[in-house]
Amino acid sequence: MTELPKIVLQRLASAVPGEHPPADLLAAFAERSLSGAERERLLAHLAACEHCRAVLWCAMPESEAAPEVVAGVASSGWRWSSAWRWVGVAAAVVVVGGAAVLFRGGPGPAGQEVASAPQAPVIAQNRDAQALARKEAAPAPAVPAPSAEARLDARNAPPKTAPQPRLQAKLEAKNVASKGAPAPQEPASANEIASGTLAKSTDQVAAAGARSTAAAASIAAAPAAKVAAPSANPVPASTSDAEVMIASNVPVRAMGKKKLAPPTRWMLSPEGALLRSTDVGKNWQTVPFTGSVIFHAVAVVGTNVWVGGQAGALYYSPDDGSQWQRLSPSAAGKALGDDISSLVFHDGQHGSLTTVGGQTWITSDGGNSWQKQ
Amino acid sequence: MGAANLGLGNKKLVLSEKLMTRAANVSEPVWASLLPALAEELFPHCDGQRFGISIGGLRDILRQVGCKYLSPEDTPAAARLFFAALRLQELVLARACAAGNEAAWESFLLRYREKLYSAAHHIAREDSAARELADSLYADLFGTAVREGKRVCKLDFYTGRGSLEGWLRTVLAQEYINRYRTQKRLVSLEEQEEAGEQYAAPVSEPQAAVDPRLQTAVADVLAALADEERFLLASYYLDHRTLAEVGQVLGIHASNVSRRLERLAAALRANIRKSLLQHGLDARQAEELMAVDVRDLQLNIRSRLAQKPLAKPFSDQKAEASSGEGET
Repeated sequence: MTELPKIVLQRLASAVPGEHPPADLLAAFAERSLSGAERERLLAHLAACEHCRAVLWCAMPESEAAPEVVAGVASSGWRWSSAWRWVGVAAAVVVVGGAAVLFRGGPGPAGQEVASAPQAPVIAQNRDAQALARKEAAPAPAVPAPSAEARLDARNAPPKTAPQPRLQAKLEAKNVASKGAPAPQEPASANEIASGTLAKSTDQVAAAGARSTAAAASIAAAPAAKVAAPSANPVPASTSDAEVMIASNVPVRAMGKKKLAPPTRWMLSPEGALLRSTDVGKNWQTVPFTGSVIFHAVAVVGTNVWVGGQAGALYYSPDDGSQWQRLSPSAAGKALGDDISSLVFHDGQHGSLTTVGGQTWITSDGGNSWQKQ
Repeated sequence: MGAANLGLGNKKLVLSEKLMTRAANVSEPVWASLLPALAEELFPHCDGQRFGISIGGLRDILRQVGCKYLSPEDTPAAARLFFAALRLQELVLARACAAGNEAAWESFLLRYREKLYSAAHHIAREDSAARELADSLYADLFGTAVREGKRVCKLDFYTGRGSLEGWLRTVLAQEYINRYRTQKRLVSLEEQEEAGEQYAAPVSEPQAAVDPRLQTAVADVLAALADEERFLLASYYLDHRTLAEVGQVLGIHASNVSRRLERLAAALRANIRKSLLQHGLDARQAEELMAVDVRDLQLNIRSRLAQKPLAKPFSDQKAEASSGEGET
């Protein structure tokens, strides 16, 4: 991130706030329940009041404040993005080095170059590196759909993986996160060349480069890629990985587009009906649901909307309320029957609900499956 | 003549009646006419009966909350939207607890006891401090303090604007920050005393003065920013919060926060530079000025304290509170 001149920081820090707001306004702000002039005034105060900001950060719920949870959403995405960008480059070096060794007829000093690859994530976590990576990632060109042969050749030409840093990084971060997943097999020639533990990491890196190329291609031309991916990649899971990537990209694009139109606002009526406004709160329409469901909580992340209420009723809309599907939370074979009193979602996938009885249920797949805490 | 006097007297009477009616209207908010019907409408949905709150009691609670946050001139329609957005069940529970209702306390403890201790632990990060923090809040919630012969219960201050759980966390955080700062100040003084620093003459280091043109440029550029932009800068650069945390509070994605910060930082630099150039500096001088390390600069505390507060006192803002409701 770009550093600010110190005099700007000093000026920011020396602003004098007015009277502190009451705790209920701070809490409402943190829950994004304030709007309009009231929110603006509170923001003006918070911008100037280090004390109230400290209270705000301190009062954030554990699940939201914990860096490991939120970082997984986005910031670490950038870090991993830049990290895996370097891994991609390292993969290129490895394969080219491997090819050179092959021609020479045995393992040589190429392996020593590879040893620096695992350090790349550490380097890339630096803020400057992060900013640099972002600058480089921004003008990433649309990935042309390569032919099946080209994808198959990807392993042997890893430098081609470099122009797709974000897509590649997200996919690979996912693979790294699921430690239980089997290590990619190594049809690449590099695997036959190198030996020992160093060789293993080499294989993974090389295969990773190849898989991400296939994934990136599948995003550009999804139907073709879905056919080609299994042949390009011996690990069947990579096809589904690519599909997950496409799905998770949708809300990001939708959020970008939403800037043009006023965001939809949601509210619950005193009777527990879900109300929706598309004109910044001037007019509200009741969203019809079959049966007389009384809702107690609503959560919105981009175009994803969840609404929950009486007797475990939980509905989800991925498209700002155009279509709704009923979710049936159940854990250990037991369906949720209590009233839902609150819903919190950090992104399109991770969230929690609290029942009137004080139980907390969490989900990491947008509400399809739940775990009772 | 007499008739004229009588006529004048009647006119005065009519005028004074009009004034009295207007005075009565001024003391009674416009939206208050909504309350009786609204209280009846909301009562079945708020557990009031279970916790010993009557329809009249609910009306009084709504009036109190409305008086705190609504302007007397707000229309019943605007007030209705405001009341509809309140966490009514939690508000009634809190007020019933404050009134000492046993069923309400039972429900409160069942729902919030564990959460309160867990939140205290998250805030204090240490068992004994967390327990002490939570216990002190419990004492306030039970209303052990007495002011002017009346029991003061902190739950009376909850107005249902956000969740009760969020309010409890915020109150805990406020208490913790206040304690921490007091403690830090005391420790700091003790440390200074031990080191004999309090008897030492203040060190007067030679300090460079800030170029007034730079000060003006920075102040102007920062003042031109939107409140949310200043909040973004302060949260990230001063509080060192993560992009995800800032995004969570503002309801935007972390990558969006990152992009906005990058744009803001670039725009700040460009605008300060532009302002300096307008003040007759050349490009090189402007860059040199911006690179000055302000840690070495003299801080004029008096002028800083005399700065106009950025935010008006919240007590004075009530009148405008709801006028902006619904705006972007």
